[in-house]
Amino acid sequence: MKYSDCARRIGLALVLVSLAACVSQPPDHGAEQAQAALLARGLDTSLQQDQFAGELSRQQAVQAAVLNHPSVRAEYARLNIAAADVVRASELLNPRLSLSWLDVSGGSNELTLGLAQSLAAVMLRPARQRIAAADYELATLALADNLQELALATESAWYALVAAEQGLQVQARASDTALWADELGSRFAAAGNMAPLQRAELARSAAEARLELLDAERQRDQARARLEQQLALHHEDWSVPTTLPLPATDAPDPEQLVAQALDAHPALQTLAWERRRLLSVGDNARRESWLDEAEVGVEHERSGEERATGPELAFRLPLWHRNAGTRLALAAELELLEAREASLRGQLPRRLRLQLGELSRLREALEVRERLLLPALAAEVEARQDRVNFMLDGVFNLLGSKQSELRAWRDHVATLAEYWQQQVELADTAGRAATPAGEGLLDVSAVAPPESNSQAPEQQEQHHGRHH
Amino acid sequence: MKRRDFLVASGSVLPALAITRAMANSGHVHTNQGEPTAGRRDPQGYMPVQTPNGWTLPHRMVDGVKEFHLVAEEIEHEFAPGSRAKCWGYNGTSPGPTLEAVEGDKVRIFVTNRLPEHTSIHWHGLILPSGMDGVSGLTQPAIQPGDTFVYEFTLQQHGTHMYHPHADEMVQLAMGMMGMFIIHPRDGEPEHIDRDYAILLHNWAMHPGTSRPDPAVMVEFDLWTMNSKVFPAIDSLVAGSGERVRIRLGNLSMWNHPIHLHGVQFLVTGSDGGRWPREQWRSEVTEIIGVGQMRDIEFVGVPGDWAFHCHMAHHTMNPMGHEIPNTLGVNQDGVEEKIRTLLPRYMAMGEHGMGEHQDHTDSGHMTGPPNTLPMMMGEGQFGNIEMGGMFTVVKVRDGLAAGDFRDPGWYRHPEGEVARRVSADPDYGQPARRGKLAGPNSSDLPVPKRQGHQH
Ligand SMILES: [Cu+2]
Repeated sequence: MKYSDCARRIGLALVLVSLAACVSQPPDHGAEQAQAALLARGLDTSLQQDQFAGELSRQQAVQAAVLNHPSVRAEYARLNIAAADVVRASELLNPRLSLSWLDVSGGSNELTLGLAQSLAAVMLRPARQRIAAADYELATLALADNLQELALATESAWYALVAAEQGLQVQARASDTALWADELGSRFAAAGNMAPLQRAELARSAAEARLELLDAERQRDQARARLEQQLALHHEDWSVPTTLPLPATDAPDPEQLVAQALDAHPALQTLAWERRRLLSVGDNARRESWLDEAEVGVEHERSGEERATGPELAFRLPLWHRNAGTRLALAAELELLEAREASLRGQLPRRLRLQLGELSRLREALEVRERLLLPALAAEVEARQDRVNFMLDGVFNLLGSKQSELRAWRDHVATLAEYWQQQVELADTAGRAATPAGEGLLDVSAVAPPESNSQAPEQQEQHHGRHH
Repeated sequence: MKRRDFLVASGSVLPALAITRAMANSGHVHTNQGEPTAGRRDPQGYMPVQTPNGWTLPHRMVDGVKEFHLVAEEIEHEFAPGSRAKCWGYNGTSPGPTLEAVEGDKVRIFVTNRLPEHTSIHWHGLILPSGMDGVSGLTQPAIQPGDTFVYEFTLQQHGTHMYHPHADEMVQLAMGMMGMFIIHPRDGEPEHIDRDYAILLHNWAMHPGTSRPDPAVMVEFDLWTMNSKVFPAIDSLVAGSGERVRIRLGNLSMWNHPIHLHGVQFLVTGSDGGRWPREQWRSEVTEIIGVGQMRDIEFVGVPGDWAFHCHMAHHTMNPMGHEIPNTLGVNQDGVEEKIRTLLPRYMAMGEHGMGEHQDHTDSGHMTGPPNTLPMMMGEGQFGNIEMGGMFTVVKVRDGLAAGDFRDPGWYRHPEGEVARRVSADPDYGQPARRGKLAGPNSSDLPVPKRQGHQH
């Protein structure tokens, strides 16, 4: 019979649709994709778990943070939520089975059997799946972004701690010069050769030097606490090197950096995916206005000996409500996205150039210090020593010159530290996940040898607890 | 490190060149540099003057006039090996050559200016026509660079005199422009002179590490010179035993100098005013040569090596700082070692006095600023002399030929005539001692009570 054939086909279709709904698996490429994105941005997160004990390199510190930081677990959980949404979007509403039994006056009865499937669920599924897929991509990008933020924050903390350690090393020796001058002052006074005024001046300088040292120690402790928080290790047995890297000799080409950023900035990628998602939402909304609550089904009716089977279709007439509000909101959101992208494309080059300018100024300052200031101060110390040798100047002049030299070295360390913090900021702006490698290390051992190497045990005892 | 160790260490690490230079500085290599004069009387009857480290300007007789030619010019001058400078002088030297003539001579002096600025020459102490006095602007136009002026006058006096610029004097004197002008008496000397020396005293602001005098300095000078040299580069004044020696001293520095000669009582026989009448001669061992003044002293040579120097202690030193902390009695043990961890060349000095300093500088391991002399120098046959500046030695020897101005080396003392050690025990003998002796338990300086008036 014609009707019966028709119903069989519809039934078959319903079964197929139901089966199709069952095969959808949660996506699991997100973590890998985030890893690949980070690799493209300069950060390799594929490394295996390490001990993370002893002296941690910058890469090790970042690795430790990426593996251990509690926020990372939350990031992965968020990705799993997005994966679950993908599954949810492919799930159909279950078919509706209806059954009715009517006793008709006269002894007969009527049985109605209906099987219906929401048409909207089927017809809207691809659009919803596209939305969920876009959400998943966005979650993947967000994961990469958050890992990147974590990595850069760790780099920043690492640079800060290395700088604080090195600054402390230099400050300790700079302070020593004033402490020794004070100690000598007491010897001069004991010999009857120093008036109270100069004695007081030396004591004042020594006290100020102690305060400077305390300050450097405090900065080191704060920097250590900050990095400790990033690393989230369960032990205290870690340290960082005490020598800052020096900038690489070749600076990045600003125009190339700007072009790269405009081409592949993560924020632009995110905007692109948000746009695709919005378009899918729009698509969905358009269909929804027709298909909301639409159903197809098959009905079988038995009345006495009569049998009747036939298809059923039900939907709302889009007379008054056509999802117009939703579509207006979507258009506005698209507009908003475009505005954000335009603003980003406009701002990025400006911010990059500003930061590159700042970086090159810092490099120049480092170069002036390294090439001119520090050699001049070294020459001053040597010339001062020559003058002391020939009784033209005294030991306090010599210690004063040495202190000036060490203070300039301390400032040099501070400028270098600022340089690397600026590199972190630049990476953040440019959408890079790591700062570039340096070339060589800032060696202060010649001008400020660590005290432990050069001191008699008795003197070490005196300095015990000052620094370590 | 003890001084001994340092000397040992320095010997093993110093390059030979540095040692040689240090030895030259310290006075091991020492010969007289002054151009020797004949040692016999001039036809005009006088014994020619010997200018230690210097020379006498030859003259020409032209129509009965003695003609001299001075050239004012920039020169390279050495105060002693290890200290050279661009200075200004005459005819290649500072001091300029000594001019020598006799009372009554007519002199014509050409002056060529090869300096970068104008100059003039003032004949300090001479009686002459006002227009020949050499004060630029006042008595003559200045001699412009490249120009030659002529001064011409008759010498109406005798005595020890000087010449120097009277134009931009602050700069030109500071740069070393000066010379001696000796006029012998026409009627001969009351006492026959065998050796006649001329020495010009000066001061120089040669800041350590620089190589040009600084004309702006008025008080804090670095070098104190006799004929523009410092000890140990000043010629020894040589004489034979029993010879009558005259030393003429002129002072163009900015300080007075009490000049002291060991071993004799000398007679002051003349001054700016020429040879004094014999009854005015006076016996001294130290004579102050005031700024701008001249003095002649005379004595008979007594065999030996006799120090001859200014008695201002800082004028017998080479450069040193005057505001350095006083290290005398200061124990730097412990601190010194710490300082050396940052300043490896630092060495605490002067706890027991400065006597050790010369050893460190002579040995060369304690280097000073470039082109700068250490403050104490010179080594004699018994050890370090520890002097500088206005110090030299009068060396009187038996059997010295007239006109022999060579350095005869150190005096060979007759047996038993050198002070010697009799004990190494500080408690030796029963010397009388008074007063309060300082020691480790000496009390601190008294602190005055400051409680105000008690009514
Ligand atoms: Cu003097």
